[in-house]
Amino acid sequence: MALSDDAFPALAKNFVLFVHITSRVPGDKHQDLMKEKGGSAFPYVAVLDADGEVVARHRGKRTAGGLKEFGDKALAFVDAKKKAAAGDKRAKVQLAILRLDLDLDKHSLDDAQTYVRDLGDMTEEQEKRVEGLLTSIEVNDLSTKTRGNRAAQVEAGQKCVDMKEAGRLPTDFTAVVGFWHLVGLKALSKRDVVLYEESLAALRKACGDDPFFKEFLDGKEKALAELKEPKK
Amino acid sequence: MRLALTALVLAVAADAAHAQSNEEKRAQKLKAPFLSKAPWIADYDQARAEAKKAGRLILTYFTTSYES
Repeated sequence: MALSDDAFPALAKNFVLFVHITSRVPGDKHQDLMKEKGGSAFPYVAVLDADGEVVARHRGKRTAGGLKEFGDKALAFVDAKKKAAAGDKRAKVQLAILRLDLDLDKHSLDDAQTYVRDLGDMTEEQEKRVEGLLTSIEVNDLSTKTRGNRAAQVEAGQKCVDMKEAGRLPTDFTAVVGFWHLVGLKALSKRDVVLYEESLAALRKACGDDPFFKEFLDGKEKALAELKEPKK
Repeated sequence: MRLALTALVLAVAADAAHAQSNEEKRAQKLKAPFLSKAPWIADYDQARAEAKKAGRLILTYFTTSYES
C-alpha cells in the first residue's frame, strides 16, 4: 500500500492522519468504526470531517498518486461545499459533480443522467468531466452484469470498442480498468493482436504502478504472448 | 462436576490466551514501519479533536491486527 511510500507524508500534509485498528481486544473502543464508515473489507481508506462524518470513500488506485488524487477530490469537495453554501452558483454545480464522482458506485446510469440534467449550465470542462463520469457508470454496469460470463463479456467488449471509436472513454479508475479488460477480451475472441496490445498498453498506463495489479497484468502479458503464436 | 469445572477452567484459559494474542498482535501492528513515516494518530477521539483544532479533514486508514 502507498502508505509506506516516501512521498506519502508530504502528500498527507493537508490532513490529520488517523489509523484505526480493528483488534478484537476486549475494551478497545470503536471496534465497529470501519463498518460504520462504509467499509466492508480491509484495508479501507476514507476521508472524514472533524465530526467523524464521511466526506469521501477511497475507490481508486492504492498508490501514493492515487491517494493524492483521492485526497485532492475530498478537499475540493469541502471547498466547493463552503462556497456553494455562501451562494456561489458555479460552486454548486462543481459540488454536485464532485458528489457524483465520489459516490459513483452508488448511482445507476438512469439516476446519474437525471441528476446531471438537473445541474443546469456547466462549463465545457465540467461537461467533459460529467461525460467521463457517465461513461464510467455505464462501463462499471457492463463489468458487473457480465462478470463470470465470457460470452457476455466479449459482447460488452464490443460495446466498449464502439464507445472508444465514438470518443467516449471512462475516467473513473475502476471503469478504466474494466473497460480495457473487456476490450482485451473482445480482442482475444477474434485474435486481434493490435487491439489486444492497445488494451494492454492502456492497462499498463492505468494500473502498472500499483503492485495490486501485478498478477493481473502478468496474466495479460502471457495471453499476448500466446496470441502472437501462430494458430495451430 | 469435576469434569465440568475442568472444562470451564480450560475455556477461560483458552479465552485468556486468545485475548492476549490479539493484544500482542495489536501492539505489533502499532509498530508497523509506515506509522513512523508520518504523524499517525491511533485514537479516534484524539484524531477528531486534532482535526477540529487544525481545521483539517481526517485521512483514515482502516486496518486490522487480529487477522494475520
